[in-house]
Amino acid sequence: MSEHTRTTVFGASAIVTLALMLYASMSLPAFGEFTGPYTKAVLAEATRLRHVDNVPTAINFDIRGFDTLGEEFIFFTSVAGVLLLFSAAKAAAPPAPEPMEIGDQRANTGAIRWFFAGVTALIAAMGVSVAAHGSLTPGGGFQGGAIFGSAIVCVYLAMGTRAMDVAGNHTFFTALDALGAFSFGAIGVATGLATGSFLGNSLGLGRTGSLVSGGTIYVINGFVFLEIASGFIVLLTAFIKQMRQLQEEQQ
Amino acid sequence: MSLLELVLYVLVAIVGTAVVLTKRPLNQLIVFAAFGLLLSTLFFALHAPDVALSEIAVGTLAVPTIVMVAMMKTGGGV
Repeated sequence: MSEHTRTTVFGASAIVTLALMLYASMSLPAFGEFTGPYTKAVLAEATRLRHVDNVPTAINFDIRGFDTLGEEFIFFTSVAGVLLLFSAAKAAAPPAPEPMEIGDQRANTGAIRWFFAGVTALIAAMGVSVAAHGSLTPGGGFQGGAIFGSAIVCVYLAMGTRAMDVAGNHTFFTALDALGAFSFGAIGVATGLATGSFLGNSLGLGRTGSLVSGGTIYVINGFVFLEIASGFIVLLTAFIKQMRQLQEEQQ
Repeated sequence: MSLLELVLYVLVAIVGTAVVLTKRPLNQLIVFAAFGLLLSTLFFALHAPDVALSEIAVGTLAVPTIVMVAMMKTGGGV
């Protein structure tokens, strides 16, 4: 297909798509105008029934907790899949030391090292805080876990591959990842036996507005944090190591 | 629509176009990360802070890391 034909075909389909999209967007409801009865019911009743101020957390870990359980296992399976793909590369020799790990060049990278050491602590603390306040403020186990896990990149930037391997110990965090995923399911089964409904909220709900509130919501929130944080750590460690190995192969 | 939302909508449209128009894959990745950050700001302005927090971690860190490995593996963008 020649350049001219391609542009013509693209131009024609772009105009048609744009027209269709504009036409469709005209019948969209205005932003913030909810029409479904479920939304109204959930917003009105979630805090009263579950003692959780942050309604999305109550929805994710309780009201439609079964759905989230599926999502957690999607994440778990993806981590397992990536590790399986990279397992062949892992067997290869460990990557050469980074400039910051070699004595002579250490002085030159001092400022970067200290900067990222500070950033690591900040990001990790932020992750824990976002997850711990899952019942009260926006965010929760997933967001907090993703933020906490991202801190491993700063460990790498501050101190190189070896420090990253120590801080993000593979065996420890793969085990923790599995524990987090398993516990979510186990809580579902246990509450199912106790209350007669899968993931039924059977623990004490606590006082609305206190740090630990929401009953099983808070416990599941914690296990989701464990799973996502360790999953991110394991994934990012594997990706960075893969990049280092590729770099060496290209040199 | 508030002024903040309007500004963010326009910025997202501009940077989104910039992602498409950037030729070198490596540069494109940097622009894409900036796009992710802008998008999460827009989510925040639209009263979806939960989504914004996820977008920050996924859009500005996880996706660029994955694409970077893929680029190195295929020799593209270097």
